Amino acid sequence: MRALRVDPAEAVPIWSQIEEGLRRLVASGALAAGQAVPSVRDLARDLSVNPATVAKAYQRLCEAGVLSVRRGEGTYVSDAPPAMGRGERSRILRQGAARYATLAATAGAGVEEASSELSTAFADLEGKRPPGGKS
Amino acid sequence: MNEGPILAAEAITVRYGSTAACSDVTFSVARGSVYALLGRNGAGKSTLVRCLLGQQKPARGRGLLFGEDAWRRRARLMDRVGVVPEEPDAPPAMTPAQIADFCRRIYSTWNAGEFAKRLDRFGIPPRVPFGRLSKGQKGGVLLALALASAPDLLVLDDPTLGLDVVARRALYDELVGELADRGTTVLVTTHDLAGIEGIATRVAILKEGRLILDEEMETLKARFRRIRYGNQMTDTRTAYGTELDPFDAVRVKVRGWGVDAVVANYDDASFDRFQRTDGVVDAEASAMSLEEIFLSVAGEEKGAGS
Amino acid sequence: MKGLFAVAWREIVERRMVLLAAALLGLLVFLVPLFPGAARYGASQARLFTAGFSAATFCAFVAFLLGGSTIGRDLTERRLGFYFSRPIAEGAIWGGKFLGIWVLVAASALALVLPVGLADFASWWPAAGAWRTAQIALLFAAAVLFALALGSVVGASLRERSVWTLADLAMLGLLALGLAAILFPLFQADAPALTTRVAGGLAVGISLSLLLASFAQVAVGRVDQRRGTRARFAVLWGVLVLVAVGCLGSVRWLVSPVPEDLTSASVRDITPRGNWIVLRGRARHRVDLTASFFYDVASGHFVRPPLRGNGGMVLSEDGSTGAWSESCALDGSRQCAIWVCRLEGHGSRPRRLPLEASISDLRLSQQGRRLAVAGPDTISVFDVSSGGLLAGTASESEQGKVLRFAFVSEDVLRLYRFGPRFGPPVEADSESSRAGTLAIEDLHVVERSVTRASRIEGLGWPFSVGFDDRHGRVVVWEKEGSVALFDASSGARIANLGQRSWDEVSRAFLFDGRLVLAETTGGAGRLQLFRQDGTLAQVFELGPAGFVQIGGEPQPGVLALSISRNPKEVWAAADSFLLDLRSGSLAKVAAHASPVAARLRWRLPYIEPGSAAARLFARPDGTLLLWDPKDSSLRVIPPLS
Repeated sequence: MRALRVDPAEAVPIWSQIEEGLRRLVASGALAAGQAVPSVRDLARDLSVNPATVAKAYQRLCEAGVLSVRRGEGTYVSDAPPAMGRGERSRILRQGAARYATLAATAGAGVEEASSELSTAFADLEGKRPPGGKS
Repeated sequence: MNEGPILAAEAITVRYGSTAACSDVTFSVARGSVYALLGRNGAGKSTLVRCLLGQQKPARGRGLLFGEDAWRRRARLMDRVGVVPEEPDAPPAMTPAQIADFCRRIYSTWNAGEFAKRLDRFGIPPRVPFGRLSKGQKGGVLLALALASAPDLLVLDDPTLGLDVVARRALYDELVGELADRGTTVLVTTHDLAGIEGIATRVAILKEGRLILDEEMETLKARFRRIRYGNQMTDTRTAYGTELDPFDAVRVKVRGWGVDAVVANYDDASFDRFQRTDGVVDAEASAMSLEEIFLSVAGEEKGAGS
Repeated sequence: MKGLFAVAWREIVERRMVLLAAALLGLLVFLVPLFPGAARYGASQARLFTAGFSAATFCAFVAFLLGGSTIGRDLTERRLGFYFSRPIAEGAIWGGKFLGIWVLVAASALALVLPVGLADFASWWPAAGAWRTAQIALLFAAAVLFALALGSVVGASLRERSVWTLADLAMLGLLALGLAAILFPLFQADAPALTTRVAGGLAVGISLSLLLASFAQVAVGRVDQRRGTRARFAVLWGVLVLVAVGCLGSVRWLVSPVPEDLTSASVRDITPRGNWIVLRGRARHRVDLTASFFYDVASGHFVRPPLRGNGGMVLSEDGSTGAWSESCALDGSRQCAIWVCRLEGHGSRPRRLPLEASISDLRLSQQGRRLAVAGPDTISVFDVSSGGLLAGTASESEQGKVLRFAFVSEDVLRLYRFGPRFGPPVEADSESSRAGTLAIEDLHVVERSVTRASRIEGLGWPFSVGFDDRHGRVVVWEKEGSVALFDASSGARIANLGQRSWDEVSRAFLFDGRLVLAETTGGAGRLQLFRQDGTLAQVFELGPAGFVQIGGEPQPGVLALSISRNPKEVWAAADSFLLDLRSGSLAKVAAHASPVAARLRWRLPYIEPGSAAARLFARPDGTLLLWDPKDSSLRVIPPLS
């Protein structure tokens, strides 16, 4: 899982980083529906984090319906991962926006430059998504 | 099943002559947790670990393993504990195979197959005398020994000392694997803060023999922040230096371009208010790594008294 | 237990080179007969001796070194951390290491001696046997353990190189001095078997303290070196002090027996009147220790001189004073010191007389104010209170050699010189040799002069003498059988008492001066009583007898006799009888016993009727019996508990 990175020094707890990262991968289509995700053990070893942390993230994703466990076979992406709730989506966007704004301000950029970069990033993401993915 | 903590220190005090290596240290390690004991060289970590393992008798207080006095019941308790010491101490004339055979006789559970597989994984030749192995290989043998007895508690005293990057990674891989497979409780003392940061669930810091911090990793990370901001003169701003009061500042550096502070009591709401405070400009809060937290808590103060 | 054996096995495996070396030496021993010097002893003896000697030295050396390296070095170099992190008890760690090296050294010894032992089996097995071999093996194993324990403690102490090492040395010095002081009385008492046992017990005690100290260092110290050192020091010297105290207590008990502890006793001296005797014998539980006492048979009161060598012990006639000599020079040159003490009450503190002399005999005057000492060349008289020399004379002179001396008063010592000077004449058995002389001299202490009382000449050689110092008489009989009574002051012959055969006659003076002769002829015994002037007063028939010995008078008018069936076994087969001199009745008083007075008569100036001297009988097994005239009963003395 090369795309999944955690930084223990971040403000966000590690389990939250894992959860968000997986959500992002699922949302972007990098993880297809029904695809297997690494076991708790393997992901923990890869990331060099406590398996309990990974387990917590997986637990929350299962409760949210993003992942599902098949007895004896492992953990898989749900066939129909739920869309994010509007409120939750707004919250996530707002948090991300606040971070981005601070980042841009520190770099000395204004809102126009920041917005144009944002549009470019979205376009790239669109381009990478395989056909049949969500918009 | 015993409900209490797997390991506990009760007011442990150790003296070497007139200096105190440990002063009234009390903490406990809950089942299933990974407890990182941090401190500078000479802070008293190894002494404390020896007291907890029943190898040294503290002047006052005691160590408890599985609820029992570690000094009195050491032999029986060691059956459930895997120990990897700082200095590899296996008899140099014995080969890893002979050491395993020796341990097979004395532990109640012993996984010879697992031991052999681990040696193979680490690339350690089983029939070379222990004394002739490299430092990393010696550490690997001792880790394999500690894990082969299926311990309920794993005690690692600076396990990455002197290991290169590859060996260090291998060690953490083994540790995480063990945690995933068996949920072993772990007490680890280390200087590799970056490496343990993701794995430890609870952190304690020992400074000059005293326990100055004993906290869950998440809460510790949540409350420590580095706040950088500038102060501007305004009409209404009169007081300077008190704006950080709600945050419990640990270390404050005033620079030409502004203030660089480490705070120990951060929360988002307070920071919002702080940002809007009159005269505070460009306020920014960034999370700190374990290493940075450690430096601010246990490091030496330059100039101003502590 | 699993831990113990696992650790022990590891110790053995790690040091298997020692075993190999020993096995190699065991084979090399076969080359010994090829050496030039060995031819003298014979091949098998040379090999056996070399093997045995090599095993002993090799193992002692190796044991000491291994002890030092196994526990000593492991502790100081922190090598035991590995074991402390394992589920092995402290006892198993320490015990396993000790067991391992003990077995290793024992096995090495076996490897050394086994090849030769088997090859030459026939030459040593019949002499030794199974039991003795087992004893030696056990003793050897114990010695190895001792060497290991010593090595471990010494090794640990030396490697520490701390102030505790100096403290160890200081305590060692103190303890050595202490033990020497404690054991000194035992050495002085001259009882090698007992001393060996005590030394053995001490060795066990020391081994125990070493083992406990080594264990304490491991168990209490664990990985804390300082704590371990303190524990080792405290346990080692604490236990050793206890051992020393125990040793002190037991040595004091050993050298302080009471008369009731005697298992067998002999009487060495006795007062001619009264109740004091000198007892000597082996005491219960004390192996070969000989104890001597001044003992009052009437009250059971006793005074025990400190046991220092087997010197002579004497009593003054009135029982007021006792004196004894002790060997004081350890080179055995027989230079003795002389001690004196008063016997009444609880006995006074013994006083050492400020003189040393070579002593062959010792005698106190009647009231204990003068002491006569016979040395190799001189007979000297000393003043007891000051220890000053009062007078002396040569023990050998032209007149002959002094074989007996006795105080006739406080200031006069009577000397009996037997001549001729240079021993028996060449034609000893010829009838014509009548060269024997008896010169009686008086040494006047105050005047420091010797006056010759008398000289009896023309005695057939050899001759024997009986003495009556009280009345100044002697009875002499010569080998060819002539018995005669002489006056000691003038040397005049008072009476001839006839021809008697040398081996069948014994003689004694009664208290009132009458002479008694007992003889056996043709298997029957006969006793003749002579008046003071030498005329025959009465003859008593004693019945079947082999040999008769004459004791004292337990009651006035009653004579104690021992009559033995077998003339050859004078003492062992004798029974004691009481002969009533008025009625002539003979009654058996004790079986397998003989009167003590019969043996000591030579030393005594007289024997007062009714005194302890007259009433004591001795059995060959060392039992002493006192006859009570009131109820005619026999009492064992000292009352054995």
